[in-house]
Amino acid sequence: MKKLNTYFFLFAAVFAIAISFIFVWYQSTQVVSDELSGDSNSRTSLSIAALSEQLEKDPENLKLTIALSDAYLQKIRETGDVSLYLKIEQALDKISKDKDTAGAVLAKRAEIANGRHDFVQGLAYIKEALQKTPQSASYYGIKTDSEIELGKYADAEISLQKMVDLKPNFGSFSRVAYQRQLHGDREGALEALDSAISAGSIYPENNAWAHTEAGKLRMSSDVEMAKRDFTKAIAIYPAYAPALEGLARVAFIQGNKEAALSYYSRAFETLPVAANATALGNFYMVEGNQGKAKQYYALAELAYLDSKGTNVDLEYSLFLADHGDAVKALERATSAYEIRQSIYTADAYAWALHKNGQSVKAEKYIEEAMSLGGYDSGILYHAAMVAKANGNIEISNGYLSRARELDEVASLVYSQALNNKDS
Amino acid sequence: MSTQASYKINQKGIALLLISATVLGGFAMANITQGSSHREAPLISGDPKADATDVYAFVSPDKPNTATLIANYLPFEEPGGGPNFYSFDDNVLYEIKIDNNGDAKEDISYQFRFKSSLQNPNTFLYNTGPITSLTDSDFNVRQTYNVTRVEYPSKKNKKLKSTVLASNVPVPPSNVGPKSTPDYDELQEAAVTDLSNGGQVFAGQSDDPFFVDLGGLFDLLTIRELPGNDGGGVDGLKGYNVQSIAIQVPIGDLTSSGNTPASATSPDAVVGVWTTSSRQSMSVLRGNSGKKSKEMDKKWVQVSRLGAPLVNEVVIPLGDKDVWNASKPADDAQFAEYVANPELGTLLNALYGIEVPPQGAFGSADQRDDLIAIFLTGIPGLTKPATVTPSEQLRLNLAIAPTANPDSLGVVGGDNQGYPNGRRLADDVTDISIKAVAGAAYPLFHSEFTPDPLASKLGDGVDENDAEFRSSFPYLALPWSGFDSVPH
Repeated sequence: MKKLNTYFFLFAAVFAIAISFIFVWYQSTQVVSDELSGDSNSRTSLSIAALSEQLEKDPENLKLTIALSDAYLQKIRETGDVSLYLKIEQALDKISKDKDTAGAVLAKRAEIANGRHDFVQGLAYIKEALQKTPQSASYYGIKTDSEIELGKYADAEISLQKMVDLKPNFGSFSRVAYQRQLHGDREGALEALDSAISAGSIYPENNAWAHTEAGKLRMSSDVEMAKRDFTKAIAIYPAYAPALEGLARVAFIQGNKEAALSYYSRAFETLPVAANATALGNFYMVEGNQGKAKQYYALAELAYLDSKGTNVDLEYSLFLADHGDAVKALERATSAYEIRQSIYTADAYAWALHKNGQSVKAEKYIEEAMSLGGYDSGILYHAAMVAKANGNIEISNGYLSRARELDEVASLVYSQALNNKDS
Repeated sequence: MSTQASYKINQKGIALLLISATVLGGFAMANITQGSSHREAPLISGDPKADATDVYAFVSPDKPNTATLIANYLPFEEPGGGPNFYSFDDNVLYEIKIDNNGDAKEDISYQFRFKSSLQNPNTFLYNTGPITSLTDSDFNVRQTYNVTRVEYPSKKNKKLKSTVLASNVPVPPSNVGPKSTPDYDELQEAAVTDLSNGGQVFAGQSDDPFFVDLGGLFDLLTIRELPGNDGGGVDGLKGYNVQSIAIQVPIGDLTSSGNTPASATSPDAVVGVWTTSSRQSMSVLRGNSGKKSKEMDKKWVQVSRLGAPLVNEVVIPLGDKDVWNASKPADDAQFAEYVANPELGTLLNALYGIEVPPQGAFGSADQRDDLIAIFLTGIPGLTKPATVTPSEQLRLNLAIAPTANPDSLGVVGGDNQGYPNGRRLADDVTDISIKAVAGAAYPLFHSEFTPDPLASKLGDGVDENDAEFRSSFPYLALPWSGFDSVPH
């Protein structure tokens, strides 16, 4: 008994020290990422500070509240810190629900719901907002986002057409690019992104984002151009994590493993989110370093498990299917697919079924996942594996080569990572 | 904490974290998560390059047979805004429009279309060395533009007439700093270009000529040192640049008669001015998407509109801003309510106890006919056209000669050459507007009314621009240099 107690105290002490280090680490990443992100990030913070101060004097001021909400939403884009949604809700709760204000407040609530991946609620809020303010372009943008994620692609096309006809600008052009991409029109997507880039945003991060998206689209056809897109993004917004991840992929495709590792690591350090931890883990897996890979996968899992009120069923199920517990993966995927039937939830459901030995049943859902034409390399890779398991080798090979055409790196990393793990 | 120190802790922290990651569920990355499939396109990006900030229209002080029209875009340009610095958008149609017969429809439009080019396709650097001329090969990211004068059909001319006044006119670079853009004033001067109609044109960066206590205005109309006629305000636009489009044309090019008006009461003396910017819509899906999309493809959509100052900020409520920016002056009856019964009047009364004139719904006995005149129909005997359809425009009487001693309070200060008769760069439009809403001009329409003694003194406490205007076209102050300015 005494011995057990000693072990317990020893363990508790190590535990406490570890916690305090993690705390310091967490604090320090905040400082580092703020500094690395440079001027624009601190400008977002400055405007949050200034608007908060003004609102304290006049808490029911609608204009200030909406402006503060927008600044917080931008901050969440920059840091991934979804706990800030609570701050927006606190500000919105102070606004009375009379005639003029309700539309604007509802629209912000819809944006928050979408941000937490509760797209059913997001769509409900924004429909109500549009009844009150029918001609607001940005409201149609929020509606488009909800509909896309709910798999209502025809509705989303109509909503977005309204948005771009009301206000052809950065926000609507970049959404056009995504819809065209989903339907396999990469050239058209790039054309729309060029219009978005030419128009520009008031936030440097947004401009960096558009360049990064262009780089991703160009990756399979022109690596050098893609590299320039990512470099430009970083010139606009220093240490922009999605662009660092893009540069990692460029380095990988060009055989420069050392640079790839450095970029993947920097992306994770700047924005330590699940997706970036997984990408780093995948890199180590491809390199045959299973130990390190598993450490980063463990980190990703921690982030998924404490998702701060955001629904991560879709993302977590895909993660679990590849790197974790297949049964849990199916639970999450089922839950995601029950709520919303998009090509991505159908894909996650099919993939989880396949991983649980139900490849025959998976076929129906993987076909649903390709109902827009099948232009996502991840979905195509899953389709190939499902077909293979069902004995359709020729079809499987067809999907694989299409996946490679669309995204050589992702396909390579994905297949190698899985092969290494399976071996 | 310095970057380096925190970075070291960071490395150590990660190492420890990795060792203990499997033991400690839930603590690390506590605040962070992200969905990877949700693409999260930005929504609140604004449209800075198509966002009109101010319009100016005045009889040119040094060339009184011409008028100068200026439209500014891209608010809050931080002078040190690398690596792109600032440009107009090639995809935007910028226009300065003129209504010269009071019917609320444009009769003349000056259209500006820009075109960008990279001199060295191997770099996206703004400049690759010092820019010493507008054709310097180190001037990498360049823009030129065409100016077209469009005359819409009228009783006199049945056909739409379109004339290119100048093409491939160079835009000077942004004012980067002494190394990149030495002798910046010479670059700007070289960009002032003569037009085939005898006028001049300029498009490029300048200091934002507007001066206003933005913080105070939007913070519940705070006047820092009451009543605000003796400084004490904070210029919220100090040190910021804008993109300016400026054109100077013979007065006869603007009037309905085609001549210089004989007197201030001539029926052709008053013109209304506003700027618009438009972008082309696009089909969401290309090609196979049926008729409706094709109709929408390439269709021009007006995304910004601006005539008189502060209307969008102060008069139009939040929920109507998109509608306002897309609207045409001919449809302005829908906004008359906000002018006839302004929120600002109620606010002045509530905050400062100002005895503002009675105000009530549009069409009622209490409607603010003084403000309706200033913002919608023009002031009788000064800026009201012979016949007028109420609409929001910056109205200018072209027959009132420039004064040698301008008063920045314009008409309210007894100087009929200034705002709200057109708008000169130095006019203190914020003070004028606050005074007007407080009732300073109300006795012109209701002689029995005595304005609150404070009405003529109210202001935002910012009385002049932060930089000196030039004495000849384009008159605007030179932009702040990126190198010399401290980010806001």
